[in-house]
Amino acid sequence: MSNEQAEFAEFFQASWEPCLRAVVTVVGSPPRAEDQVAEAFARAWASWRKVSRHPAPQAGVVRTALNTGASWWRRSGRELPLADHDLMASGGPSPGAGGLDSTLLTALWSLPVRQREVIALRIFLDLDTGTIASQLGIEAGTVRVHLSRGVAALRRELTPTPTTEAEQ
Amino acid sequence: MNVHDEMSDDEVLRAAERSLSAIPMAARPDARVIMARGRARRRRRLAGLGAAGTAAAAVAALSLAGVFGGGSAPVNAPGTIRTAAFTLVKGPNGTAKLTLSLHQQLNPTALQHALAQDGIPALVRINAICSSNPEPSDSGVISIQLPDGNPVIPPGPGAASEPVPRDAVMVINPAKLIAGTEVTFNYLADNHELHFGVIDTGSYTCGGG
Repeated sequence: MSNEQAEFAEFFQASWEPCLRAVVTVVGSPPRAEDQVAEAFARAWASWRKVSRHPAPQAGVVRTALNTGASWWRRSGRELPLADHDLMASGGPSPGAGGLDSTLLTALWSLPVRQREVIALRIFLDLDTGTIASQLGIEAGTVRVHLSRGVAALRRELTPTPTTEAEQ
Repeated sequence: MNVHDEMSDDEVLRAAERSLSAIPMAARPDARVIMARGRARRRRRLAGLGAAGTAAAAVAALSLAGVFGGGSAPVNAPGTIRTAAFTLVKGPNGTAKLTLSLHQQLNPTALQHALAQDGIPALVRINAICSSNPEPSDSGVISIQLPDGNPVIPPGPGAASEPVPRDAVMVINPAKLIAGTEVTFNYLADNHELHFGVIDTGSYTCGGG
């Protein structure tokens, strides 16, 4: 194995899971995300000399994976069908099992795509606002707006409804 | 718990991370399989470049021969306002079809004026996202179609944060606007993205774009 191949293999092994989970955060379906991320890594290897010099190569992979899905979306002319999400369609693991909160995930996948993208890049790639902005081609202020709106929507699912003194 | 106990942003994001990390995933593929796929892609790309070069030369030759008859300026049909950046066609029942060429620099004043001519109250801004809080219902004021005529599923709340697909056709029905509201089109020039939404005419902010 050449140095270049070893370098890519190391990057791939370290980056596969965070990139995959970031894409699942956006597209909802793990099988679809796996296809898109595998294609994105293949493209990264096809242009490895350029990708390896990228300031945030994992973010580049995620962006490519999401663009792959967006191309499909444009061709088909419709939103990715979140209803076919394998986990949710099958009823999924019971709420709370292994840390999985199905109510929270349903709320997450109901957010607008851009909000999911910002949340995915923040959670799984730990990118700061400026880097997220440059990756998504939007302004930092827009990133903050998307993050704030997305977090606020998720918080509503997580925070129990306040009770009044009379109810207690 | 009272409202003062609500979770911080970091706590919310950590809860989301825990749930997302608990989703079972397939095992990571072998890096060699991915590299083989990448090599195949690189070969196809190189082969395509060769073919594209041949095709480009053929197109150039045909253009020189006048086959495509290019160069004449578009002529506006009645009820149609056409600029390099957008085309607005008046439809039945006060509706209008708006198509933008997101590769062209958009003049917000020209678009806003054209929409007004068709009876559509609109606020057009460049490099800013405009919104009202709370967001008024869009009530189906704008529907989106792809060039092949397929409808795009209408965006839900927060539509202003969703870009319109490139080359999509927007059908605007001002009759569905609630009194005191108007549509807003926000064009982000750096990314050639168009966002739209409905705002309260007397209460909105623009920024962050």
